[in-house]
Amino acid sequence: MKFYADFHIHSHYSRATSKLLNLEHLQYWAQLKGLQVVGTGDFVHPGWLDELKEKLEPAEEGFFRLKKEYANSGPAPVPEKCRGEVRFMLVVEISNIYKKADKVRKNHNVVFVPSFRAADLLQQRLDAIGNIRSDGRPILGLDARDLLEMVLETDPLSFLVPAHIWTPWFSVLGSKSGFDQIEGCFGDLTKHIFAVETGLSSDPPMNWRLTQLDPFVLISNSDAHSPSKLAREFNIFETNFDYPSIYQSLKNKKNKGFKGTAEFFPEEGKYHYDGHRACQVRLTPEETIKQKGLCPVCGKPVTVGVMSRVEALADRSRGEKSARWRPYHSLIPLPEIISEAKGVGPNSKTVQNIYHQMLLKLGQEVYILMDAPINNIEKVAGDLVAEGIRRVRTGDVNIAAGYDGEYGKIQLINQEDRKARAGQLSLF
Amino acid sequence: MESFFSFRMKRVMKTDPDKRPQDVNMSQWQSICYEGQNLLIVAGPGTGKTHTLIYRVQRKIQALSEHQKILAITFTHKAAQQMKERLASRHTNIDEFVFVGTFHSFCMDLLRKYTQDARLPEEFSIITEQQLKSYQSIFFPDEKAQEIRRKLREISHWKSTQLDQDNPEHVQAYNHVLRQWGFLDYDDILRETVLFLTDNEDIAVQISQQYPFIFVDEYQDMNPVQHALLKRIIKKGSQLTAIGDPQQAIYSFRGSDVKFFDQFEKDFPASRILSLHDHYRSAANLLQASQQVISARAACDVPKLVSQIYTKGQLIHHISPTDKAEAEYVVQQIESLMEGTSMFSHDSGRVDETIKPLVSFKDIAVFYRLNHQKKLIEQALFRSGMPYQTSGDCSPGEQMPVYDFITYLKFISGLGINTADLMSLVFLLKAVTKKDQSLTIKEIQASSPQTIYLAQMDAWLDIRRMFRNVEGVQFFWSELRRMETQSRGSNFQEVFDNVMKSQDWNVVLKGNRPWLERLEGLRRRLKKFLTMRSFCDDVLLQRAEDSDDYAVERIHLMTLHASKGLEFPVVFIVGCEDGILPYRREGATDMEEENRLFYVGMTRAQQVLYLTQARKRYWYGKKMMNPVSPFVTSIESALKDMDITPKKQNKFKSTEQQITLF
Repeated sequence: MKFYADFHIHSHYSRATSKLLNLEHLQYWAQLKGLQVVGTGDFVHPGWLDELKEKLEPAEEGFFRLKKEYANSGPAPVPEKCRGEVRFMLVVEISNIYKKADKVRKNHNVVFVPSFRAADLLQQRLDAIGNIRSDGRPILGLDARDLLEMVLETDPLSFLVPAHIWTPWFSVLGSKSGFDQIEGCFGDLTKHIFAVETGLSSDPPMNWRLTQLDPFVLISNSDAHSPSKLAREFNIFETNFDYPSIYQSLKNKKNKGFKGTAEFFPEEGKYHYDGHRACQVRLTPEETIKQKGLCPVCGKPVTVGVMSRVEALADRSRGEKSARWRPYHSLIPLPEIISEAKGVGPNSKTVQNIYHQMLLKLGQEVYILMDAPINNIEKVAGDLVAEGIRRVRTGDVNIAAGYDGEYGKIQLINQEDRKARAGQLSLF
Repeated sequence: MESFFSFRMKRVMKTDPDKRPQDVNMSQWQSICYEGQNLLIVAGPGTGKTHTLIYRVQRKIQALSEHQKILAITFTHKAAQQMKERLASRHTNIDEFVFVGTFHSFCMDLLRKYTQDARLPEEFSIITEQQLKSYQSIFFPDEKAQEIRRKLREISHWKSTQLDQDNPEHVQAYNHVLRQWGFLDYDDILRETVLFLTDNEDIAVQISQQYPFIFVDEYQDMNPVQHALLKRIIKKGSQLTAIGDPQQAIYSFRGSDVKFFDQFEKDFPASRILSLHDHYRSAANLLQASQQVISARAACDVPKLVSQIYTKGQLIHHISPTDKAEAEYVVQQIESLMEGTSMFSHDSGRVDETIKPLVSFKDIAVFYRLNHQKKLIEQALFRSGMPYQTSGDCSPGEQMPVYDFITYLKFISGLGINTADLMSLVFLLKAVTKKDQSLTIKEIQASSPQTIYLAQMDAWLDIRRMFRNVEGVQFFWSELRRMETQSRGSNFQEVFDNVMKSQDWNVVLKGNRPWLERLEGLRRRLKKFLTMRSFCDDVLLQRAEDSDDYAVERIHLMTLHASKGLEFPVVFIVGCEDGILPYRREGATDMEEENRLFYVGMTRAQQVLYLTQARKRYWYGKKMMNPVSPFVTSIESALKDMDITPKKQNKFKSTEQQITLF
């Protein structure tokens, strides 16, 4: 069957996450968003693992479902059109900070295990070497290669995926404390890595620029720190509905069963281009090279973003595809599109009302974004929202790219669009 | 930690032995090449002491004849391991040419070899302080705990400083019980060796012939018994190389005496004293500050060190309103140094923007004068989620369940254990059968001989009958047997793994993080040993400062004493207040030694040194307000960056003021 999966998320036990990140809210939001498979996040945290064992029961192999007694205790009833089955998979993100080859390395890694038994084993190993109680995403002074070894020892179906591999501060290829090659990080065990996560800061075409990434399938997850952020990015499968099939479709050479990803526009990320936030200077990689890496305002070195890092490591020219490319969809979360259309903030009442109306009348958010007929959307949410969605689908989007910690700014609908529509409206 | 020197050493190619290698300076070279009989090298902190020693050892290896070896004695177990590794990287079969170890490991080998001649219990074991504590009612039946502690300190001091054959009565009584149980204490190992060699001159001569070149590190911390041991094994034809720094003598409370350093030429005639001046560790301004500290209170002129590091370091003197705020400050600074360990601290601007060298967890150390100071630091670090490790509180053998595990290993490997060791089995048995039955050591002793082997167990002892849960005990017993059979023919790494995986140990270890962690630590060192016996002895010979063998990186927390011999890019010394540094207790405070201790701490830092102080702290439950440490005051202000966290506004007061406004 075809299904959508968002593996890498967090629980309320992680730093800087929503208190609402519990299984009931995840189950509720997964349905509104349209996901069938969600990662549990944080499974090595003792408190969270206890909660998982208490509230989940085994479903299809390697999948878990919320027990009946908890299934209906979400924040509100799920609109009929959004209802669907949700499965959980045991997933955790680990922060590894250590010295290798005389340099400080910081990278995050997403770990998948197929059973509570394997989860227990990994928890025990990590408990013996570090603090897994203060943060759902534990910070360990452990070499990522050694973490991988421990993971592989827990179960033949356990695996590790380097997380958001381009983030400057915390990733395997990041400019600040990463490696130049995946192999530099995992050494002799690199052959056990078969997938990498593009993260919010990159999309597949950026990754295709590196032939060294050809052996890895590109997956995408939301890294959600609150339940409403689920499915910002996700993976599309068409295979049997269980953990081993997911594992196989990611691992097998042709990635049969893995149908690609849905992605953020990477320009929205906080470190897409280079620059200085304080000086309001945004530079493309080419401009940075022209400026010799210095800020034209203050003269100090600029913060180098993801694009520059990709350019530095790239050995394919822009636009070329990797031999193992998969299709991908670029998406913008629905509330942001409505917000653009209405000219008010995404958390405003207006936007939230329209958003929930759409879910009620049309169905799950992912369906609305990717598949719902435009004229149906127009009927429920008005023509500006429908036009916004149409533009996202066709890639007709203007974004002022993010830099030095400043988020990128989307422009879907401009003043002229609004005036034009207003003019039309006043005719009636 | 890989130092500057070992890094450079790897690149040295085999060259003409009479040509000075590039990574050796003139004064080091002079010490390396000195050909006279005895040599004392005065080596201040960071002057390349180990580097020089290693070159000299290598040179002496060329001078060995058949059946001869070099004896290299280090102060700690950890130092021995590092030296061995460095030598091994340049020489194959290094064990054939050099014995590297502590005084204790050297003596232990001898005592195992000559157990009978030395009239020691067969299969004797080393008693840990923990065991001394739990069996104290046997050693001192009618004493109060505090009195026992005092007595034990006194006995230990006596044993490491006096060599009279006639022990005072209380020492004799204590020793008698100890031997009855099949134990030696830590001090006995050296003392018994010296006594044995005194009675057996022929063996002393043999040893001196076997080891014509003897090296002793940290010579300023020698105690009289160690000194006597050296005198026994150094004969005509022996060559002694001692190295040390009188400014770093910090163990007089344990019986060490810096006078042996001063009287070296008298003790070992035909000797020469050379010194090393060039300093390669701390940034120049940090070195200058520590020189000011040591010169302010040294008994004699301190030889000046010349920094060869040309970067500028940072010395920060920070004052917090309270001890809790001090701990928070340490954690915040570490986070900032790491440039944010989490996205959170990075995005929320808690981390300042100045560019600093990237450091990793293992580059950072926090030192304190007394162990109980670490509690607040630990709590703050735990909250931050950053990994840390403490060392220096108790030795590996004292940490549960190491001793019991080691005993179990010995037992199923066919080695004998002593009566008291049976308690380890009882401990496990109790845990497994979940019976809280008390079985005292006396009850066990009543029915067992001094040395116990698994093979003969049934014949003369049956603790089975003492437990009511017969089935549980029976199962336990059959497990022991099964483990023994299984271990026959397997290498001892497999034995170790089998025991860890066994059902009984699983019951004990399940979910016990520190215990698992310790056993994992043991397991990693296992491969360095050839026999189970030498592995077990080695574990029990380690002292508190050796216990931090982890495979993962962590921030180091330790006492100032434990910091000796180490170096870190970033060092915090907390509690820089008069009363703590120097530590003032009843009786006299040895200001000079406290000053040296502070100096040792300061000279560990390579780039960044924080000296932190709290205006107010709780000390053993009492509020205390101390002035700044006089040691900090002896650093001129131009060298220190002051950083003061203001006292928090008292909220209650300000609302009160607001109220009065209306």
